[in-house]
Amino acid sequence: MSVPSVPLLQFTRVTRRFAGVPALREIDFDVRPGEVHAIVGENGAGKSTLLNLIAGVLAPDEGTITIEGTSVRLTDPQAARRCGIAICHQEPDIFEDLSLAESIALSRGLPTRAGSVDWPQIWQQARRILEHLGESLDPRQPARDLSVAQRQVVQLATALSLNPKLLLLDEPTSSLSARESEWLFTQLAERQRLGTGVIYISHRLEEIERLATRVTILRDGRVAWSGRSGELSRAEMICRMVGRETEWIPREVGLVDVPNVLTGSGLHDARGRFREISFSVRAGEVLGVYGLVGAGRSEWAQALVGLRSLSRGTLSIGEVPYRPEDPAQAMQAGLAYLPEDRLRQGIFPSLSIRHNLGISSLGRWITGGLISRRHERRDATSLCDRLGVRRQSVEQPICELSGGNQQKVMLGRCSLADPRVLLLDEPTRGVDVAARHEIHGWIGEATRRGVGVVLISSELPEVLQYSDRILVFREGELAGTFETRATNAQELARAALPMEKDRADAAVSRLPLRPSRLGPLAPLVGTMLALGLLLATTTRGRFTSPENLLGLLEKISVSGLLAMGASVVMLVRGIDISSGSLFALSAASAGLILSGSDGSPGRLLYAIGAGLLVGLCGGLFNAGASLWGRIQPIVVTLGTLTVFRGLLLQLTGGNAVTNLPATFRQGVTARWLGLPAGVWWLALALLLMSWFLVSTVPGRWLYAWGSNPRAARLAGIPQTHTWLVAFGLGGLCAALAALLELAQNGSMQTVMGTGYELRAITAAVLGGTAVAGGRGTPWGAVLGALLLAMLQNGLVLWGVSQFRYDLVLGVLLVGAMVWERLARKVSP
Amino acid sequence: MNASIRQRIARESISWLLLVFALGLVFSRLPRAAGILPLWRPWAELGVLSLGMTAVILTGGIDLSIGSIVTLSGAVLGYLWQVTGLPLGVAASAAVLTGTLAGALNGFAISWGMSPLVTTLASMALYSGVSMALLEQNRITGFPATFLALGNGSLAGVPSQLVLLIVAATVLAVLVHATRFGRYLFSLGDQRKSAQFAGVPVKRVERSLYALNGFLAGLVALWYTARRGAAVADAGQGLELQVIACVVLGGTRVTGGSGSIARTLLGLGILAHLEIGLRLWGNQTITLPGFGGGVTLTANARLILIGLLVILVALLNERLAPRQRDST
Repeated sequence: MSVPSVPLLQFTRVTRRFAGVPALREIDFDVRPGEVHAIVGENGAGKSTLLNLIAGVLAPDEGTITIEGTSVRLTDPQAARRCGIAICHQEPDIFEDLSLAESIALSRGLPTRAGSVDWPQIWQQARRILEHLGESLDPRQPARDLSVAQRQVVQLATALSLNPKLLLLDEPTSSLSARESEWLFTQLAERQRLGTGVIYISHRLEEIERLATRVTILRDGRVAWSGRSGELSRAEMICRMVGRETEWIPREVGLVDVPNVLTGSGLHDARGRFREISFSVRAGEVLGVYGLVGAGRSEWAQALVGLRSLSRGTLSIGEVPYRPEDPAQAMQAGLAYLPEDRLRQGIFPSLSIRHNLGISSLGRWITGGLISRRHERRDATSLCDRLGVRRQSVEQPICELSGGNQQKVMLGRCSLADPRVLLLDEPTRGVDVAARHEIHGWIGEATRRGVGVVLISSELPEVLQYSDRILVFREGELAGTFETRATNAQELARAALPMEKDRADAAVSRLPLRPSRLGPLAPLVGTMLALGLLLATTTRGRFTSPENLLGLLEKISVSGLLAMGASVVMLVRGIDISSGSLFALSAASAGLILSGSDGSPGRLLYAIGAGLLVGLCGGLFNAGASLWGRIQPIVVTLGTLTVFRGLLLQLTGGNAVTNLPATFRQGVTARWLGLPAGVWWLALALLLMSWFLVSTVPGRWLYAWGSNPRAARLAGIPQTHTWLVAFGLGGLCAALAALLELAQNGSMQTVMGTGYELRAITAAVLGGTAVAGGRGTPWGAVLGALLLAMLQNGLVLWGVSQFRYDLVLGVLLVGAMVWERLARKVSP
Repeated sequence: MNASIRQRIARESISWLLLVFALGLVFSRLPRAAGILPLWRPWAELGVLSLGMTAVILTGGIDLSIGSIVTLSGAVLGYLWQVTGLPLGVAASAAVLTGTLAGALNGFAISWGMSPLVTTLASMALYSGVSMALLEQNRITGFPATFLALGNGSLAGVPSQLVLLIVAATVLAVLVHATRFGRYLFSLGDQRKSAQFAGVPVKRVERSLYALNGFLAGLVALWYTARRGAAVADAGQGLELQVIACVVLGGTRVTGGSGSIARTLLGLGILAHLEIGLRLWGNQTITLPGFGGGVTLTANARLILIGLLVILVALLNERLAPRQRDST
């Protein structure tokens, strides 16, 4: 087989640094059509950086990337897609609130026909893709019901369906069963024949031997070896991955007859991430813990301090039985935990070094309930000196320090708690060489004081060099405990790599993530029917009288529009509490133009246009200010709530607007086909909004962004766009509602619309709009408004004081929010 | 480094400049400086509420129900005293207790995993609904003079509200800046996950925080009712917005983690004097150099100005906040 001369993808001396530390150094790498190029390496060797460079998530600092001979700059995920690159991430992102078919379509780019979303093609595409899988998946089922394995399979199938020139697979089989993996391998073989190039990242060496044409081994950001598959034995591959035998001197500490400080036996994670773990930590020893990411090491450590719950097993500290409850109690008991993800789980970025150091041990400085800041500062300063934290002062925000110095502060926090056992999860990740050295020195010092140290690391040399014994985790189980002096890197790496497939855990991953889901609209429709029936039977026909029903319809033509507006804003995780004021401002703008005029068509159009424009601009301002300032829309709309009302007062001079031309009023109050014209306006708006949300690409983007912003970004959906559209539409709805109410009343007071925002939000939530975004329909919102109107109507007809209406409204809103919280299972 | 100091100076100076401007506005119109004292009464009440709100916003939370809790406590006070005929002291204690419970209810829902915004938006509707149902459109009046003195009396020349504010601000400042609880607030607001990992009892802190906020609202309801001499069902309407405005104008970050009680007092000073000042100036026409005619300041301009200021200060605070060095 002759290899074509032009590679699909080529890296030439590519370097990428993070905060000055290179993650990839001068990488040369290429993929040719029809080959599977496997990349192996330990965690942190640079595989994910490489992947992100190709995916367009990162850009190289030096060197060039060429695709089919042309140099490219992959600036965003879409650019990569346009070049014919398809990527399957290890943990697939999915649009949970959407149907499976649409979730697939979004990651491919929504198909359109004549400007609107081509739904038949979406269903057809999805069916075609899913047919190949041999899984019985319904394209209409909500994507959230898929198990992790199913998500992975769907992601793979979607990527394959794009017929990419280059396919990137990151640990594609880590959550698949043997059968699903076989399916993938067959697919890959077929693609290879068609000339697709594949980059295959995996820890499973037997898969690599089977699939790969060529293998590149990365170590510490460099290419450690590259060549044809089969040239190296598995043992040799492992050897290249972990490096030459490091020169380590086993720590000479007499550890005979030392008491255990922490023992555990038969520990099981309540969520199944690790099973049957038994271990002991001796005073003054370093217990290394090695394993691949996802092997259950961090979960185990977190369970020890009560951040996860254990379903079985016993623990004791010294001789005393210990049940972890929460980190505070663990610390009291003598266990301190250094989290793996320093930036997100460790530091308080904008708070001072002093605050970051002391937070877990405030008791030290408290007398009579008050913290002595002087003592705290003194201790913080001396501790920073001892740890060698390079700083200007201890009052400096910690985010101004380098990674290594931040980590030293974290270690300081642990040591202040005077622990008997230190659980250090990846203490040297993202840390420069000098700081690394200091941290290792500090660990040694701790052991000399008799502290038992658990050193969790993905780096074999680190584990081998600094620990006395080593636990190896593999896929949630203990693969073995090794004496450091009697083992070597190869043995440990082999123990950590996943076994040949026979997956008992497939059963676990197959469980749907969210077993139950409560239908969003069922309770609403049920309540409405019941209420309607109750009203019809208990009001002696007054409820069902035509005048009453028509009045009801007039009312919901306004409140329904407002609810629609609130709903579309909440769809993108926004909220607008200024809509009541904006409503009034729009009404005033139109009203002032119309007041006292002849009501000629030109004048009418001018007024309506002005009203709608005001609504649109108000909405856009809210979105724009939130986006620019990166603050929640609640604060912005809180401000505009006042601003809009002030503008309204300024415009009207505080007077009521009256004397509107009859032509304007008739456009809303006249009967068309027996129904008030306002209802037809609502119906028109509802149809337009539904059409927009269901059948246009920008409309679907609102759902996608609200459902999963991260996945949306990867699919090329910008937040700016979705927010401006959603808030703009919300403003338009408020303005239209204002025009209707203005015409219905024939005049307006300056207090018009006060409190409407709350009713609109209530109606939207009752109508199934999720406050957390991604779910909701304009129909639901209008139904919600109808329910509220019926209730108010009912209270009047039953002769219940109108003052109870607010109470009912409040109870309903609270009920709807609690319902929503129940329907949303807490994510693991 | 210089940049970060410059940013800090910029953040500080915005609020101070605003305060100087607002004070200038007031005292250029006020014939006697002591004339300000009675004008301060309602603002001191608002200030007490904004102290609790500061603590809430420090954690990245928000309490939109605060105005409704004031209403509810006032309604309970009036209802128990007049309708059920309980002694005023008992009714007052019950009112404060009601506020605390209403706040605690918020706290429970929030620690259960509902977002503060959603929870308090819903409970705002609920609490004002309960007040409406209790009082309907009745004004409950006829409180004894001893009680009314709470709202209109003075202690050594200092209006009673100001005494309350001084006491409350001292207590809250100590609580927020010098106790374990206070530390937890900052930690929670800066990075919730880190707080959890560092052993901060997140749920317990949230529950007590919102209960505290409710307690303050219940307390303020007594002064509020006494000052107006009546309990009515829409007493605290819209109060939450002004309260949040105070906190934001002072420079406390709305995303949490940064701010102080002193800053909120500063914000209160700005808002109060802007409002008082603009009111004193009334419908004056101010001729600005460069403008042809003049700008007429009306009550409406006040609303617009203050709304825009809140947005502007919130935006600037967020954009001038210290930032992570590199996010990878």
